[in-house]
Amino acid sequence: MITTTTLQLNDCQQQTFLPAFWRLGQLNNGLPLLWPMTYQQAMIVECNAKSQFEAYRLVENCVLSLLLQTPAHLLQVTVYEHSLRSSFPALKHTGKITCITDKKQLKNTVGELQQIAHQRQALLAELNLASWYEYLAINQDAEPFKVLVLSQVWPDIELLVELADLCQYGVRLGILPLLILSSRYFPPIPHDEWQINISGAVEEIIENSLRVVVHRDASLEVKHQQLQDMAALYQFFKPSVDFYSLVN
Amino acid sequence: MPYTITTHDFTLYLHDLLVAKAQQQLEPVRLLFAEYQGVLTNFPHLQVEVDKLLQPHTGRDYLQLEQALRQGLQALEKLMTALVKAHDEQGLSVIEVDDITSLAELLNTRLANQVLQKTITAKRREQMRSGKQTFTPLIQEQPIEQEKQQEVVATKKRKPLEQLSIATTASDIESKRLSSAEGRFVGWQKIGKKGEVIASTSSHWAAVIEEQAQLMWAINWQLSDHFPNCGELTWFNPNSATNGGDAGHKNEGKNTDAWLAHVNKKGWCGFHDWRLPTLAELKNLLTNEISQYYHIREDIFADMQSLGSRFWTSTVDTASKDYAWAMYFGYGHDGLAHKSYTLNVRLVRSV
Repeated sequence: MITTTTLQLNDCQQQTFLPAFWRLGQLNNGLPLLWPMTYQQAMIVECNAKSQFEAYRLVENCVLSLLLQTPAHLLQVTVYEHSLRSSFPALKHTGKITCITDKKQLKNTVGELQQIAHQRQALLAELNLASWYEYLAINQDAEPFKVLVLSQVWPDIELLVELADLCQYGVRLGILPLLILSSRYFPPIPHDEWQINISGAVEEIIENSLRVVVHRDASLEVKHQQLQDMAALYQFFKPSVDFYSLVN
Repeated sequence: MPYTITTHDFTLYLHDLLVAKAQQQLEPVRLLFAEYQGVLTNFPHLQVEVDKLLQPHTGRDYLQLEQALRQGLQALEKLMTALVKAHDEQGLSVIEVDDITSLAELLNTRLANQVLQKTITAKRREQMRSGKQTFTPLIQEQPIEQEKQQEVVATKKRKPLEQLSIATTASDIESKRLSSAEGRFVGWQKIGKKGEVIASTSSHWAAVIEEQAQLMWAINWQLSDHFPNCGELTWFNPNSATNGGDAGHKNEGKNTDAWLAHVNKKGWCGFHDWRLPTLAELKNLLTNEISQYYHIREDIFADMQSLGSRFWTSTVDTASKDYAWAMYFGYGHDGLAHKSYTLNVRLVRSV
């Protein structure tokens, strides 16, 4: 039987492959909010200017959990931090991630990931495999599973289009985007043509992704079309973002 | 020790959550039962059902359950209050099944009816058992009488004793029922089809006299009747002195004026001076509480269910000529209605 203690992050041991469930937060009855991860869709964390800090915590917890449960040679995490004040201090503390702070460098990284995606797609077609995970299972020397974390996405149409491609096609090829979208930069109701174009690209990003909304009071809302019953069950227990500061 | 979350673990975890949710949702129901504990103690046979409902059930809609239970328990509380009041007034100490039945006419809730049915069945069983026990000694006592009286006379007297005993019980119940029914009609008189005053216990009546206001209100004899009160009429009054500047809508003869002419031509209870009530007169019938469905004494205005909630008055609004005042007994308020609307009429005459 699952209890709160058995699911604490520090109890989790490294697994042979990616964890099947992510701990997104905590419910008000003390149990964790577990979400099944199939690694077939990107994860988008939506927030506003006032809940940005909580969004960072959520993303940090998720990546820390992933790092703790996945063998180092099978995982490569790249984090873009938009601010000089680190958004993911605990994550940086692990020393297991690549951190970039320059926009141009980020764009280059996204471009590289797209190229990798094309190469992997060609390789999978050649081997007649459906996804990169199948390839990883049979080939231990394969390129690792890549996670791209963005502490902030800004209204750059070129970048958004590339991210939309990665969200749609990249995940199956072992590239998982984990993006924070703030309503500060992407208002819910666009009011000019430029914003309409931007919102079109954003919609493409979130269309097939796991959407988690973080509110100001650190409460979580899982928006997932196929698993709404489960999301509603979690919502009954008013889930909130966990707070962790140190990792082993 | 390594710990991997398997899909089986996850299923157990979800099950735990569902149970926890049901337990949390159950809490208002638990509080509700605690709130009405005083009422429920009078119905001990419900305890089994209460205990069942207090078990968490993952597939149950607790929001709906709580609403339904609250309605049922409120009705039970009303029933108990009414019974206690009635018996305080009559100085009785035992609550009879017949009293519950007569009061239950005012309460149309499923739970109250279920409780009544169970109570009645239980009472009947008790009566049957006690009846056997009561009557047997009566018959057995007779031989003692026989010692003092001649055997032939005693044999003749046996039957009257039994009959008397039953007759007395029946008339007691009947008189109790009548007195409680009469109590409900204080200030009102039931009128028969010929305009005569009839007993307040009559099951049908053609009109009632509101003694304080000195008004006679027409009542349809049966629920299926549409005379003299009826619906689907537009407001129409050709008299320019009283129509507020607009006669209203004729609606091909289906209007208040034509209907009044029709009723007064035929006559009802022998009277030919029926009219539409004024707003003040009709408003006087409004009650704070819902009787059964409407804010009106439905035990007096027994035809409400076949008519509906909205009734025309003769009162017009000088500010808006196209409108006349109407009474809405559904929610218990008055309001202006366009004269082309088709509402009900309840006819009245002054006495």
